[in-house]
Amino acid sequence: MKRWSRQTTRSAINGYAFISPWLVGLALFTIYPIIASLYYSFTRYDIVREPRWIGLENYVTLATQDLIFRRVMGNTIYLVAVGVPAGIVVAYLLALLLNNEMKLRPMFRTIFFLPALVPAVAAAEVWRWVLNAQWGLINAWVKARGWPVIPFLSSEGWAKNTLILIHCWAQGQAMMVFLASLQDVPRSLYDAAEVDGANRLQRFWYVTVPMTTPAMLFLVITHLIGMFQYFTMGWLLTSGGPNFSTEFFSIYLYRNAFEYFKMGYASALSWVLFLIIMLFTVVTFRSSERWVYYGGS
Amino acid sequence: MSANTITRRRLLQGAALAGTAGLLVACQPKVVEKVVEKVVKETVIIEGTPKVVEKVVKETVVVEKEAAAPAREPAKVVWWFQWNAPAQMEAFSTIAKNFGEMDNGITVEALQVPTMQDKMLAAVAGGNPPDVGVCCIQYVGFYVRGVFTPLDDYLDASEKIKREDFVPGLFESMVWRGKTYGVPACECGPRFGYIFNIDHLEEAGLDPDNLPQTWDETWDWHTKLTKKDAAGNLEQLFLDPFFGSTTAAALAPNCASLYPTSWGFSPWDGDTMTFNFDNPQMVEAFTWLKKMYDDIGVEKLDAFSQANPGGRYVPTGAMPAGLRTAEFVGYYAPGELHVSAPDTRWVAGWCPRPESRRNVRYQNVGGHPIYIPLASKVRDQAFEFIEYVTSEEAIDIIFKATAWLGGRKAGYDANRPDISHLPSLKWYLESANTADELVAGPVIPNQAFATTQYQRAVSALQYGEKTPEQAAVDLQKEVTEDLAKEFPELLVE
Repeated sequence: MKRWSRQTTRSAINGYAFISPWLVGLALFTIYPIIASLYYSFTRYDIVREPRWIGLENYVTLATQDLIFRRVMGNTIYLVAVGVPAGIVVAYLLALLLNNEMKLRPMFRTIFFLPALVPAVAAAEVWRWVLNAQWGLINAWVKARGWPVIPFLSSEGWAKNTLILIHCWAQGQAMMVFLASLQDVPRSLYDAAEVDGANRLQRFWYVTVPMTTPAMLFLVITHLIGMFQYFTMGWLLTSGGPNFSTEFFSIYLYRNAFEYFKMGYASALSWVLFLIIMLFTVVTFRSSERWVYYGGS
Repeated sequence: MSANTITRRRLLQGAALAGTAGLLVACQPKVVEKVVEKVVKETVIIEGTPKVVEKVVKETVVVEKEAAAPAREPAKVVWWFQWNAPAQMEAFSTIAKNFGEMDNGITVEALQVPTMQDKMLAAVAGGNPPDVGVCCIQYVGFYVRGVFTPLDDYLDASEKIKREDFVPGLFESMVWRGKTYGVPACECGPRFGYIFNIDHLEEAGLDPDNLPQTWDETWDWHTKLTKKDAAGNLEQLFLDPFFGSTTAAALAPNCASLYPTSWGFSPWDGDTMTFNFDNPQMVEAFTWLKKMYDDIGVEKLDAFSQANPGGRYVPTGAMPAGLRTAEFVGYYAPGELHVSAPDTRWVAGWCPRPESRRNVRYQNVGGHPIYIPLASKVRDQAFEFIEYVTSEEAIDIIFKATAWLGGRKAGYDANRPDISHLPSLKWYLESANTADELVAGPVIPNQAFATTQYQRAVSALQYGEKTPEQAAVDLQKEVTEDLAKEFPELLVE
């Protein structure tokens, strides 16, 4: 049995003492709420009164009775299925573009990164005006031609796609990750491919893409998580409308917790969300063995 | 050690003795001489007959001097409100300041709190709510859960707040199971009004003195006043009959619901704890709404509404901008429109009824309660502050800044000189006194959920997902099931 020397023990104690403020914070503000929310998900709890144990009832209601939840799931799945690939493709294309030698490249990089720095509330207000059906830039032009305005945020068909469009606009951080990844691709691989007679498209497909798949994996997973938890822009721009077509998972969760006093049900929702995210993450990780290439592996 | 020197121990002993003696003396009742009148009985003979008579004599007695009321500890009352327009915040600051200057040992910390529902819920759960709150939470949700102080004892003892001084219906909307949890404050008034842009009416050849009285007449006016361009885009909207009006879409204690009231039924029965949506009147109302929304075009309407945000109080709102003719709206509209569109003329009248109730003019005077969370440690002082906030002086401060009324009947004089610049407000004040039906807002335990479902039902009609009959049936089912699930104890009782 390995025995710790006094010195090692003292070092360990010092180490734990130094990180103890963080450990306490983690325990109180992260671990405890997670465990508490699991317990509350099996209760009827309105925050104010004592929780009442109801077993699996919240989960059963979610799965079998809550018609709104089905709609919410449909909205969220659509957002993830379209929004995640769209965001990643846009970020990738931008990164490819800005990885080329060109004049004013630093300035363009800054410009495309800027949306990531704009606070969501400010961005929402700007978009609200840009997309305004009567006075907005696009619709003013459309109206001037006597065409029907485009109901970007006011039609069931358009609203989700408009939110996805705005999501694509704010891909500055993903673009930077791809840029870093692209710059890490060894020049020698391109030279070797060129020597082997690969054309530009082949070099892209057989060298660039495989070498950037680790970054892609990272971004797919973070985007998946982010889109399942999508809240701010949707809440600010459409608040779930029109006709609840943008009522996403987190918005519905928030409503239950803070508007309907159903913290128990909201806790169950949050655990279902966690399980869904975990499932998608695990599947993505598992599938990554087939499509992610780590240089040198 | 010299006998003349005092050791530290001696000093401490002496101090302790002196302190104890002082305390005892202080606790002794003080005695004073006092002349009192005393009734004594003595036997006298009147006309040969002995009789016992009572006579009053003066006698000097020694009595304990009545101790003066102990000076009250200074207290701080924390007051939360959500309204955040500069004029509103200034009025509330003035009220807090004025109260603090009354030399009553109470200071008020006035705090504007955004998204107050979330904050209040967290504060109550954490045991650290404000001492007084007003506005913008799901009131009934808090009443039902017993986290506010019942104010009945305070109200019964108060010299300053008498229930009979308030407009009927207001206090009723703040009562849950016989206990009163709020006092009408800050923003109360007639909620049902039908306000029109006079210029629009005159342009269309309609008479502002003969406003539509029924839903059929409202439809006729809609056909004359709603204008679309060749592509079907709305250029001018007469009326957004549900979602364009908080009054119409509400189902709250501080604002009764327009359509059920118009059709002569209450959506909620507080005695039997039952909803009442699945009935022919509701179906009739839904049918009318669907007809309107089908004609306007729901996507066109949504686009139009989103294009002109900001309500009545900014010039870009649809009403001030002259893009919408009419609205079902409360008494606050004349003041707000006066600010946002000072040159536009407005006229207000009764909200429509079905033909069968043409002669029934209805009104709801709703308002926001001011309340004391149970966890407040200075409830007495908090109530003193409430007495001031609901006083005529404070109501006047708020009215001057915002044109908001209070809950006191005294403010509902249609001839008050300070509203001469707001002719349509005069109608609102008169209506509170002349309505045939003055209803109170429903006190529904699962109010937020019921409101969302109510709005969802109309949304489903708009988008053709449900028929009026189906919408009424589903609404009744959903809200009833939720009530049973969330408040089983109420149904057992």
